Amino acid sequence: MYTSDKKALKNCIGHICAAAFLAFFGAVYERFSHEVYSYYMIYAFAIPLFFGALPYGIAALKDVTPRRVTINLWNSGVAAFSVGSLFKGVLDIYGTTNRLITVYPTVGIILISTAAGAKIVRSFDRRKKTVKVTSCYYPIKRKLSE
Amino acid sequence: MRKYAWAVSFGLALTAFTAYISLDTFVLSSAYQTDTSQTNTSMFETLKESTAESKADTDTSEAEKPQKSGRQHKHGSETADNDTPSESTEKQTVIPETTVQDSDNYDNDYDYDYKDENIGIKMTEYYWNNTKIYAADVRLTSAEYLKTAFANDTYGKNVTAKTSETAEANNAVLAVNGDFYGARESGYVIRNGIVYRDTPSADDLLCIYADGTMKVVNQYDYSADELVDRGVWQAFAFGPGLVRDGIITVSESDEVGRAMASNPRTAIGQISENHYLFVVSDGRTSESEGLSLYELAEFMKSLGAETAYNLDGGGSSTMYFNGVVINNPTSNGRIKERGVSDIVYIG
Repeated sequence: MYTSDKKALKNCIGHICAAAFLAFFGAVYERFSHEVYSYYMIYAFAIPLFFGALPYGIAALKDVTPRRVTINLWNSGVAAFSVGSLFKGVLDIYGTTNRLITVYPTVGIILISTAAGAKIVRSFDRRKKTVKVTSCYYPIKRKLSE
Repeated sequence: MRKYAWAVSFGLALTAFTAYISLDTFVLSSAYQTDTSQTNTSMFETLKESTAESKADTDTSEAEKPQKSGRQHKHGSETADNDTPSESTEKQTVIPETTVQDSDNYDNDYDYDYKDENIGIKMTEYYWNNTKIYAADVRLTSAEYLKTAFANDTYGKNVTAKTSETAEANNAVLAVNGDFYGARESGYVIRNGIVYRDTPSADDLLCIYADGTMKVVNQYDYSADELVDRGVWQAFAFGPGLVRDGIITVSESDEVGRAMASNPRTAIGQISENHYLFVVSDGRTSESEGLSLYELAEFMKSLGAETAYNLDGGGSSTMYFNGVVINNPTSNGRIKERGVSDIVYIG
């Protein structure tokens, strides 16, 4: 396996661990909350699972190499959503509200959109370069691939 | 190390923000208004005026009636002493005995646990569904005696005091915890005729009107000021409504979306005009399991409630009567009274 695969795989495993932790935390919290529950708490684990482990798993299988900056932005977005969901669950179970809770999804959306945007721009850029490369001489193509 | 600089920085920022929002939600208190002892009793004056007007209209129409009618009235007064207008007026001011005697469901030998010229309270303890339930049957001459108070006489966030302390400070005869408005940032807060918060929420709103009636409404249908104009004396935004027009409005599976099972509960209900029910159930102990919302609704209905509403429960559920806390409030697994934002009391 290549280094790029390992990077995606490492992130995939990291998100599976985060999902397991969130599921465990939610279960323990629910256990001591006198059967008062919140869907935000119960399903918080799904966020790192579907927005973390799944895309990184696909990336690892497809041999796609996300850049460090994209990984950082994406992971931070997933973390913001996960912590926000968990905290919303705590508020629900306590029966309270806080207007600042909206900061989590806002930050999450901004970070994930930026990461997705960066990835799309990079893919587009790469495709353009590939098109150029196919019409170039061999030495240039080799240099780019290096 | 540089590789992880972003992750570490973002992690720290996220932790710091979460710590701040936790403190803001649960610890940091802020007083929006101190000295909340003032009341707006204009709705009672309007009510008195309209009652006087309708009485005058009735008297005028009676006077305009032919002699035959007058004779009938006289005859009636001869046969039934209680029918004379003067006696009837007197009765309404000497309540609760007389008002209560006039009431259909009143037993003349009703043994009140507390009684004065305007208030009659009968306390009953039940054991139902493995749960200790305390029910106060309250009869008043006017809804003016059904009052509310904020903890430390302050309207604000995270301002709390034990139900018994707030009740004592307000010379309450009977008190239960309110809707814990301070834990939320929306939902109308109308207390003693004054609007403290006019931001609506999706929760059912319980309105107690100056005419002694009680109704559960949708907050988005009226503004808080409109409600006061319509005679709302007290309003609570917690819920859900348990009984409306004598029909249970919660199902066994529909439990506020949060509380699935048996818990300590507090509810308030109305049987007829100025005839209320205050109910608190113990829970989370081996002696008393607690009630689900549906069970609470069933219980309220069984006591004859036409309207019933769920107030803040769990560790907040407390009933204070004649200077003592009569139930067993549970806080963090122990029998201990918890601080709450507000109380509903009779006094």
